[in-house]
Amino acid sequence: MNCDRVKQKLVFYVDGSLSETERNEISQHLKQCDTCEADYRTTVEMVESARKMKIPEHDDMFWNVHYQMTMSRIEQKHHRRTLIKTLKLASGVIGVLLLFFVSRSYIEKSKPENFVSMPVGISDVAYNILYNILPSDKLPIPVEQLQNVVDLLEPEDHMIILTELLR
Amino acid sequence: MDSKEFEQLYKRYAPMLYRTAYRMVKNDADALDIVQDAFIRIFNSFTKFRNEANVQTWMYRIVMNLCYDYFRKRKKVLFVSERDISDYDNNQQLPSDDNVEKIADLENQRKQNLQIALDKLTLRQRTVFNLRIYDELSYEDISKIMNIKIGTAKATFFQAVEKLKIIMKEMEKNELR
Repeated sequence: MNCDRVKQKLVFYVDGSLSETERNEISQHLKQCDTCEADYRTTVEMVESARKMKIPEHDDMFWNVHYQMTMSRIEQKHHRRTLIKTLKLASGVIGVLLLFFVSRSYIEKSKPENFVSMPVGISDVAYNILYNILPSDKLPIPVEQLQNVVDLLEPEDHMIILTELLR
Repeated sequence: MDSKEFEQLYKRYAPMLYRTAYRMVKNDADALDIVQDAFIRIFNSFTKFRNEANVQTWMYRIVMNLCYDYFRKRKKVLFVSERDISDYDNNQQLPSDDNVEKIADLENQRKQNLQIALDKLTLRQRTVFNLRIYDELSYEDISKIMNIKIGTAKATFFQAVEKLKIIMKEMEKNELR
């Protein structure tokens, strides 16, 4: 193995991730090459120095307290999430109800005042028949009120009136 | 996830994850916050993860992501303050013997230089270096944690070590002048 190749592999030689064959090859090279040997020493010193760097240690009691704090944060988050879900659901329901009532009141407002629900077309047919057959001066009520009167009647009543008038 | 299982997981991994976070953010309080946030994420998504083989790798990934978020929030891609570790190291009691003191001084100086040099690495180089040197994870695990290829993890580690050697050499030269 030449110096360039060793330089590329040295880091992995130090961290112990090379295969045994490669390790042996590098070991052989280091015995013969002072430059690579010096490079190897620098790398080892640097890695050892890094490994020796201390960080604060916390004991079991500390971690117990930290665990309790973490759990209380988890619970808080859980409560908050549940509250948000409930609020979302409630606002959805309120929205739907509001839409329902608004649309209902709109429909109510757009209906004619005395509109009475009947099978579609019956009153129109009855009105047209009456209007076309009888001249306006023979009508028992003014033409303007005829629609309202007809609307209040049942289909059977229309037929009775028609029969009476046409007799 | 039941709380007993979570408690066991917490007590087993929290100190380890704290050390990893501390090496990244170099601040005790921030590292503890990261560990807490990590365990909240772990708690919330543990059932999803239950099938994966390596829980430890998954937890490291969460911690690393939180560390990256930490730097993103603070817009600190490079680490600015090495005070915490240096102060901590300087506060350690040293033996009174002169020679031992000199050796210890040299050792301390090297540690401080290394800390400064580590600050000059990119975030990715630093992460790979920390995971390999301190946590002694395999390149395969590192690649999973960082979502990179094994080859990239190795190349990054190589670059990190080479860069550290160059920086430290420069610093030693400057000290001798």
